[in-house]
Amino acid sequence: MKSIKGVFLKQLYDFLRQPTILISIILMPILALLMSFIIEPYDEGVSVGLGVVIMFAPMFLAFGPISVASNAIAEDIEYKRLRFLMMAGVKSWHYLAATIIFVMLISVVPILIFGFIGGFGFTDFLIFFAAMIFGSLVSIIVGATIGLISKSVQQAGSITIGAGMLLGMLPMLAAFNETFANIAQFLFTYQIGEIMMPGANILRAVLIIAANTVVFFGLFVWAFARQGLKRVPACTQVK
Amino acid sequence: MISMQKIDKSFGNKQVLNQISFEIPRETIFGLLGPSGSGKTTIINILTEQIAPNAGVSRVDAQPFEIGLMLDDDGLYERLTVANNLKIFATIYGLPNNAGLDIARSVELDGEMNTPVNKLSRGMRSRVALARAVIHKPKVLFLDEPTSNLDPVTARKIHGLIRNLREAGTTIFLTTHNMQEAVDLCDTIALLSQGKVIEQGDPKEICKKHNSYKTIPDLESVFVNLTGIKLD
Repeated sequence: MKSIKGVFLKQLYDFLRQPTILISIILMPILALLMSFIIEPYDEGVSVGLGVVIMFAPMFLAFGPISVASNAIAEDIEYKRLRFLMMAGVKSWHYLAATIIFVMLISVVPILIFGFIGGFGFTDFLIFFAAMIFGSLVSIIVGATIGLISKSVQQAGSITIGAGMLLGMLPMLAAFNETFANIAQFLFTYQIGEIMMPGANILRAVLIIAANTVVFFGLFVWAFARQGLKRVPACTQVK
Repeated sequence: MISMQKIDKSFGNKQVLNQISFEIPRETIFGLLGPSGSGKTTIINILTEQIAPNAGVSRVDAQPFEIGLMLDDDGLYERLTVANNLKIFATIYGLPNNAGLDIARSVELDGEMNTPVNKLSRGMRSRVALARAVIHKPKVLFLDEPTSNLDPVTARKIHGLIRNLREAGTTIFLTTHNMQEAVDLCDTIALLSQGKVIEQGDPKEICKKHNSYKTIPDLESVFVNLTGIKLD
């Protein structure tokens, strides 16, 4: 517990001193809030607020939690900082658990802002909140995988942008192109947007999100087993 | 106690350590001396199990949390303040809130607690790294060239801290290529050249043995005589 608390503090202090990473978390909810005031009301079956949330919430999931997780892990690996944590008794799973918990917690504020913009009723808000929390978890797993496989922060940043474009832009482009829609429907980011639509097939969305979780968690386990924190040496033990 | 017995280590075709053996008693300062690239850091990495040897046995009589580590790559969180860097490790070790300030005082950094590490001089950074390494009062402390690139005043301060730690019961393993530092500071030393220990023992005795004990022990001459290598 001490180890997890220590790593959590490290992630918090570092996050607060990195404006570019801070922006990746707050940009989408702020844009959504602005858009909800700018866009004129229309009659498309959903309110302006909900429409904006359907557009920006998947973008947040595609860029926010992924960026924070991948940057934190890649930087600690690149600058060989993890070995000092490991020597202090921090296990790999302590480090990863603290990082995941931290990113989950900072994701709650944007999710609440999206909830406010969407103007949900109580039940719908609970469904939205649960879907976004779960979506954030999947995003963090994707970010952690990127952090593990990257050789540097720069490389992690490039891969994160690629992953963000795929996970964030494809659901948006799906509205304009059937081929994109056919592909995007299998992404968790798309399905989280779908869940918010009136009359959505929630069971199908949940199953696709669950399948995404299995796939991305599998990739994470593969990355961890392949090199994980190996570049960060194992903890010293008495022989 | 720290010991190595017949340690071999190669990276690819290059053998960097060849049958390295030594024993370090508790509560002493041991210096491993040699030029850059002689294998000093590799020995620390093996003792702290960051890398595995190809052959031989290494032993450190301490649990991981009883070990302190200060490496050339200091691994400090650059953007964070001195206080936050120390607080993270104080939290991990389960130390009280004032532990960071107490240790910062001992390395004369208490006036810099709110300064980000990337704004500190090289000497100050070294002191932060040392403070982090000893914040939990380790039984064993590994220091990889703790005073390299430091001005003499800062180096002397760090020497004083290292001696104090030894008096407090810490066993200290340090690497250096500064021969005078070894003579002044270490109870025992080993001279390392091309991956082999070529001499070990009390530094003053080694100087006497090799007729190099002038007004002050001249370990550098001994090393040059033994290896033909001129130090940086």
